[in-house]
Amino acid sequence: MRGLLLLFLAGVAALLIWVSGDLPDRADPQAPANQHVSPEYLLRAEEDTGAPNVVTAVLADYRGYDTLGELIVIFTAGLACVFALKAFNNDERSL
Amino acid sequence: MSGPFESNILQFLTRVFLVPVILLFGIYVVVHGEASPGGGFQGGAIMGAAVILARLSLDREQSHRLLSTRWAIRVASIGALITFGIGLVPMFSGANFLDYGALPIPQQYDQFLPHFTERSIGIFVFELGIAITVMAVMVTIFDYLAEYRND
Repeated sequence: MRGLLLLFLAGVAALLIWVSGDLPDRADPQAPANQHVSPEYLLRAEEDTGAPNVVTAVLADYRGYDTLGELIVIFTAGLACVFALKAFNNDERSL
Repeated sequence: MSGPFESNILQFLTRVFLVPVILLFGIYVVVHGEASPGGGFQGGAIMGAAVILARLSLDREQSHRLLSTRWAIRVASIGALITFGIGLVPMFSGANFLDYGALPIPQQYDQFLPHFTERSIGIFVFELGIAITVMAVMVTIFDYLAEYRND
């Protein structure tokens, strides 16, 4: 049973590795992911946002809403840690 | 001075040199996020590492004077509020959420700060809120995990 499971997992891994060869090369200018808005961001980031760093311009200006969601995820992780572990710690600190 | 390690050299170097320099470097990484590699998450992680270093090597009272556990989660909330707030401010004048171009920056400052457009200031405040939250959440998780006892 366990050998069958391992065989199945090895088959799925081999299938995924074989299929991943079809993906475009890294940083290929002709890849579909680099065709639609990426050239626009690279061309117009500095004059639109005033930030020479295109990564920050995309993260904080063009896609700022996603970064806000990321921040809420981090904050929720801290909050979950507080609420989950508060019962086990001693009561020296209160929220 | 006492602490986890009874060493004056460690206490002195950490308190006087390491923690301030790491904090300053973290602030540098946050502030220069628009021009060089950096930004909110990276600078916030560096600042959080500075506070955790203080927790590890200094006295409990001294490191809690830097950022106590009680205040850490509040500072995280304040950082998230700053980031949300800079997104809400454009909505008061009718623009979209997170539309930094509609921030009410007074026009008289344009002659002093020629490169600071409204978008630049908006991005900076956004990244600042992110850095504050990331630092405070790192400290919070470290504190609560360090005190966890499964007796």
